[in-house]
Amino acid sequence: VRLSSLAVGVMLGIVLLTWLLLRGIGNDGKRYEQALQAFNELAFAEASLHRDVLQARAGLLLNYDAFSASEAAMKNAVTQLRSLAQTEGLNSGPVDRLASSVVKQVELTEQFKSSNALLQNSLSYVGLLSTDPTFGDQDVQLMRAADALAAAILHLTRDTSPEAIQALEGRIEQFAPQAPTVGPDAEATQALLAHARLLSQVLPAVDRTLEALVFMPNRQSFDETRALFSSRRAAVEATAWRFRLLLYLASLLLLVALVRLGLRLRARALDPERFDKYYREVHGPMTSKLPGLKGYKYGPGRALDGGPGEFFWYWSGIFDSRQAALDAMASPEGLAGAADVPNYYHEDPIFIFFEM
Amino acid sequence: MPLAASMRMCGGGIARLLLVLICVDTAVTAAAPPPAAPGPGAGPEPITPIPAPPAQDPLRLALGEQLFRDTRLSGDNIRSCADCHDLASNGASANAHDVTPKGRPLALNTPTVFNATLSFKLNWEGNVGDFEDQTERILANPEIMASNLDAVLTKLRSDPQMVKQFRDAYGREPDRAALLDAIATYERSLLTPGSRFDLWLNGDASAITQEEIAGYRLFKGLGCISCHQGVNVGGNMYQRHGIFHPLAAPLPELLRVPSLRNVAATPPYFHDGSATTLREAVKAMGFAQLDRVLTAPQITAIVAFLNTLTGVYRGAPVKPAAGPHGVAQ
Repeated sequence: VRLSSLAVGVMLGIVLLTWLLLRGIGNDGKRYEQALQAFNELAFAEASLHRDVLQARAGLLLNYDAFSASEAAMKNAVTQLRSLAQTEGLNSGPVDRLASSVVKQVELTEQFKSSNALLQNSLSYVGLLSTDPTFGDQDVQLMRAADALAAAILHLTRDTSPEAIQALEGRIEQFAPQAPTVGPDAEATQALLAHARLLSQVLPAVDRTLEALVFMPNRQSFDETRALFSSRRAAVEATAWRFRLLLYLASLLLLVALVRLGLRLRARALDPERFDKYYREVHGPMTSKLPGLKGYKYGPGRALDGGPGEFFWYWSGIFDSRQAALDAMASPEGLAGAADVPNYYHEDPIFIFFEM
Repeated sequence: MPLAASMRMCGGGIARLLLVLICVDTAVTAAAPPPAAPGPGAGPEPITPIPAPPAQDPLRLALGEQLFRDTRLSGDNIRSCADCHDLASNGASANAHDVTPKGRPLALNTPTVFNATLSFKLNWEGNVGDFEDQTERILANPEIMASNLDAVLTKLRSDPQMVKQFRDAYGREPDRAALLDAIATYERSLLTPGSRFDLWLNGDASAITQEEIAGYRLFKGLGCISCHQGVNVGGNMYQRHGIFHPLAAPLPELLRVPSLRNVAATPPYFHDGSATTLREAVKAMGFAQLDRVLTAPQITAIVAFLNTLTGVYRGAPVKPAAGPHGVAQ
């Protein structure tokens, strides 16, 4: 009964400590890590997108394939954040606003790509014509007017203010009457005029789109969503801390109990006088009542040299047979003696039979 | 019979349990965009080579291919995906407009399915994001397959052999997700690497001729590259058509820029299939989108470059589909 009670107690203790440990670890750590990863990917993709947009505007980006990768990464990150927010039962408002800002960024990016392609296309034409040695070689006035128009376009590529737009439109108005409709330069000149008109509209539009994209006020939704997960994490962490504290307290209590038990056992084990007194006054007389006992004696054990030996106490009894000894141990008197052992010592005695 | 009981003094030991927490710092690495392709001696190029097809489950791939050719995907059990997307030639058809189940011409020309996976959106209008969504729409479209997923699945589930193939590939009977995934898996495998231009991009300077290189330079210099760039030589942005002059049918106004991969083998051209030859298409594009009247030598040079974009599928170069416009330019 004592052993089974002890086993149940130990099991309950293990269950309690394990439960405290698991609650102390917190079970949302992985999800929070995934959320942080999604935030990192979103921020990285946005930064990549903004870098690529600026490069594309400057004509330094070789192709738009990277845009698609950034857009996909941003959408995936938001999808993951939405899923994690749902799993955690969080308010969906901030994630929805973040998703809306990503959708808006993707729309602006697509607008930018389309407009910027036209922009680069027209700039290519202006560059091609400006470096064509055959263009205007027979009409100096036309060449000068074309150069002035190209200069206004160049200015607009660096400054899309209303003044720069107005300056280009003025150049276009000046150039249009001079542009020949027949002759060797007619086709190229009319094309230059068409591209200049397109650029006067596309260049400011591209920069407006670029500005709207790069300076989009999406920081708030990003921060709100991040704060949502941080708050959740903080709450979970606070709960986990409480359980960790409980685990610590339980461990301290266990330690105190173990120390007390150890001290008691040690006190019993290392107190020969108490042992001697108890045995002689209580346990020894109990053994004398064992049925079938023909004679007995007990006392401290010593080594041959008189020092402490392997055993520090002995009890020796004489029975008619081995079975008689076993019967005595199984008798009510024998069981009472066995039950008394823990009252003076923490281990079971060692039994030895031998024939005489 | 003597009985002796003895007690042993035991020394106590201290067991120490050392918990070692090992913190592994996992560096966050973000996928960097692929580097631009280095042309031989010319620095990075705006066009990059087609990558190797992605590794796919062969059972799913085979199932997808079979479904692509399965007429049970249509409402009348007559047409399959492959009827308009001929994989033995150019992944499309030679018709300016394929026809509906009722025999009426479709509104838009059938785009090739080859390398479609490399485009950022699908269809001429770029209104579909992935193959799964596209397949579901096409099955339900009365102008194309005139069926629906449930009807198709019912037919497939009544075929023990097909059920077995689904079980082998997906571990379950035909269902919506498995059907769409099998077809998408197959379509993602339809890449045509190995074009001469890609060989040149990969460092084989002799893969294309000087005339073709000159055509490529002209393609870039005129500004065509502004829209037709990237791994698919297009397919990564939207653009209006008829910027300076009308190009083709006015609707839809905004198109996903088509890929120029295998363009020499995919006549007719434009969303309405109105250009029957590549020369005609190049000339029209120059006028409508660049406001340039390209000369015959310029068109010849650009067409020479475009001819280098023809890739290889299953060991054979992509070729024009047989039909009214299926003639190499």
